[in-house]
Amino acid sequence: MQDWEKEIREALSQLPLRPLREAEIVEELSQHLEDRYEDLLVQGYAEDEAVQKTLSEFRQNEMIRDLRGLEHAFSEPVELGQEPRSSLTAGLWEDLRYAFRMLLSQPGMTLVVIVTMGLGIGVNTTMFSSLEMLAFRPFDFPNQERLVTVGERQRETSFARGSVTPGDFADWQKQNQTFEELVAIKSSYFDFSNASQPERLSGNFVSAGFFTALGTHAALGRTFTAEDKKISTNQVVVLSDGLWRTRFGADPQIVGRSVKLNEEIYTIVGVMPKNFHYPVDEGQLWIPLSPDSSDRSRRDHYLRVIGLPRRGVSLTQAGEDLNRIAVSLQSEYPDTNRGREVRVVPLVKDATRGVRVAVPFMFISVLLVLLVACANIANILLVRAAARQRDIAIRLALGASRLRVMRQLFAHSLVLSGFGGFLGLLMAYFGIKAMRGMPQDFSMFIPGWTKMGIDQPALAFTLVLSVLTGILCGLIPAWLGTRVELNQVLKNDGPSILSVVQRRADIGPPEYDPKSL
Amino acid sequence: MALKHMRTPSILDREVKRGSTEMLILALVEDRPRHGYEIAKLIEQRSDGVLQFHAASLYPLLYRLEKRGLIQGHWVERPSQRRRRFYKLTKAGQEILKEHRRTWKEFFAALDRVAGINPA
Repeated sequence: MQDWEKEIREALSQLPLRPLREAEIVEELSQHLEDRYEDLLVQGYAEDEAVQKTLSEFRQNEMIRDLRGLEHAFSEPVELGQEPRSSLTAGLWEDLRYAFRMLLSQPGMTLVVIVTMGLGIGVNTTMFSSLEMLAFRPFDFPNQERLVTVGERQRETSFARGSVTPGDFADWQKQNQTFEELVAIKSSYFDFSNASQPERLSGNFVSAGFFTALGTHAALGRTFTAEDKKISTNQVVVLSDGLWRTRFGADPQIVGRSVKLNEEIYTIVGVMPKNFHYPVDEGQLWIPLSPDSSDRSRRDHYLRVIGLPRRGVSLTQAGEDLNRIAVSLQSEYPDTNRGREVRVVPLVKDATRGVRVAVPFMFISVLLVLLVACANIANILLVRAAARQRDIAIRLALGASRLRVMRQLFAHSLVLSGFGGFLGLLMAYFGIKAMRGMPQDFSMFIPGWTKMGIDQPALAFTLVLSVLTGILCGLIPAWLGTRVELNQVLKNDGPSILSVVQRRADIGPPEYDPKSL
Repeated sequence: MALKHMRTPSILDREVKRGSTEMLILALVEDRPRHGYEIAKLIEQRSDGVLQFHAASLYPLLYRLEKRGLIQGHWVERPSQRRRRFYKLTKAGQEILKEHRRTWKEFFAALDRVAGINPA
């Protein structure tokens, strides 16, 4: 008798079929071939001819190609006692789904934990966003890395003055050899009379080279030119973006118009970009500082001085250069300049010195808040893990590794911290928005205040903090919750997975689902 | 499936195969469940030997129809016989068969109007 099955198996060997499926096809096809063979014998074919004809009919078509697209690929059978995939991510999705179900099953507890986490993360994110901006990135000037502030200091008392006398500034500007620009700034208030009611605006007189030193151009019109500093020429003013929008309706034709400031007529020559705020956040206009040649006072300190050292000039070299001038002024004007030195400090460092002092203390404070929150949450999760100890024991007894069960508990805390992080981000967003809305009298003197917001570093910080919080909250519950004495726990009575299974067994057998095979 | 004793152009051969084989199988299992060899045999007999279906092409098609839910196969064991796999028409298969019949009727009617071919 012809071995049809062998022929069919050889043909099917090219396909990755499941063993059961292959057996079915072999059985069905071999029966067909046998029927065909017997028919051919009845029709009068000799045995050999019948076999050859049956086989040739079976081989003539591209059955394998047709079957290839139909049959599911066969994967290696699961070896009992081992995970089908040993990767760390295997079953992660199931863990997360299980965690979600657990959270939904106890909404009250979930809400308390998420809100607690949200508060802790939110306070930290708010602090990070604001301090990172105020302490390290208060300005956006192109020349920011080179810019310095220049002040005076009394050698005997080490008393550092932020302000400089007009006489000294004039000599520094004239005699220095290391600065591209050395600029004086004098903050002031201006009575603005164009509106129906007079208004007081904060602004600054700035000497020539102010905008050049900062490397910022006007968004509309121009900044100051060499001609503008001559007092005899028409007086000009540059407006801030905020003033242009609030008082002039963002008029694109504003350049060339006149405004009355302190009872004098000024021509508007430009509007600065929206993010330009210097020397104070709420400064609304800039007017050329025209040094009065008669004002060479060396007693009245009222000028703030910034400088842009030439490229390649170090901070020390710039300081030595100005101190060289200061020494000559000491001998030239001993009554006023005795012991007077010059100190040169990077602009950002000088502007943020107050905030930087507070950074570590503030961060430690809010981190402590988060740690307290984590401790409370860990406690709640530990209680939950203790309540599930019997279930955990059963899983361990059935063969789950401790690491696998720990990961499930971690997934729980990570999902919680994910929601907590999102809530914290929302809190930080609205918190910073509220901070930015604080009275200008307070905020205008803090560089970078108006720039505060949730940016990419803040988002990254929140993400990292959320993950760390999840790990921190889940660590102890996962570690202690999976340290169970199986015999002891399983002998104890109490609600568990086992009892649920038992109850289901009492109800009846589960519905047969052929797809599950 | 092959058209026996006919010098049919290969393109037409493929078109006829594609359009008709599915309908033939569905029609044969419409009245009662049948196994694969019975289906092949009936096609050959009822077409007076013009149409032939060999195992290598019949079974991939049966499996395809089963996968699409148009027929359903099940093993039937009878005393002193090897068990056989029978295929029966499903509800979805009935709908498709109805659609096939309508399309083919329209096609033959069109051919008849144009070329005077009466399928009857």
